[in-house]
Amino acid sequence: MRVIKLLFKDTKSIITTSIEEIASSCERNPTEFEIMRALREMERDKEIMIIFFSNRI
Amino acid sequence: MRRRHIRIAYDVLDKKVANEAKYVYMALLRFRSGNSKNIKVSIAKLSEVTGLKGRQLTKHINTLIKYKVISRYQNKHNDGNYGCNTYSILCNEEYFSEIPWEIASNKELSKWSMIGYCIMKRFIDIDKEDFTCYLSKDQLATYLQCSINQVDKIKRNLKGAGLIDFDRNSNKVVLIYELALVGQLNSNLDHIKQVVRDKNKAIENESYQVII
Repeated sequence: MRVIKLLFKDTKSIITTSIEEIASSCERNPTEFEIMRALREMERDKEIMIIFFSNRI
Repeated sequence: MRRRHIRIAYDVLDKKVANEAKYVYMALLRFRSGNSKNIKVSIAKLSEVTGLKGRQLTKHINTLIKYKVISRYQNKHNDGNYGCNTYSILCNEEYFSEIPWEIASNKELSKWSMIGYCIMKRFIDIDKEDFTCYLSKDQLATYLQCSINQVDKIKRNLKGAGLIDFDRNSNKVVLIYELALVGQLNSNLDHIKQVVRDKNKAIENESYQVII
């Protein structure tokens, strides 16, 4: 499981989740690549900040 | 459109077993339902998918069992007859290569090419989004447990199928098929973003937040 910590800039709250958890919540079965891309876009739009990511080997 | 992927565990790719056995594992995953660890499939169906004969198939399945990649259980009906085999995945699936379904089920590709593709996929940098890996022929030969000539053949096979592109005398390999798929992904991104936002809202509702 790849744990990921996100800071939401508007609410100043931190959530701890994982790539697998996000994938299971989506209806369309996204890939790891798609999730990372979505998160990077959100980070670029200053919506969130990825503060921790347990990277793959 | 919902796109299916097959996840080949690094644990399996690292095992010192025949590539055919790894390919049988890949074929088994095609019958997997969601993230379930149990796969119910008959030998006849597996044989049809892999193109291997029953005896060869059983040999490779036994290899996978020996190396603790899977375990096998045969269903027994009430009348005493045996039914489908049920395989349970035992290997560590924490890290994996995601292979698009259409590549995993491509009958033009050889078994070795499929495993070669999985290894190339393993070495791409997801953050860079360029679907490029840098693997020398020697490295590929080591991972595939084969000769340099065989590596050339595999790369040519994958290039002929339109999956990868590479230059002569260069370690750079671009997975062009998956790179082309990126353009189709954008519609999914909004949905994923919404799921992430919903997770934040759910936490807010539970009043379980860290105030900075």
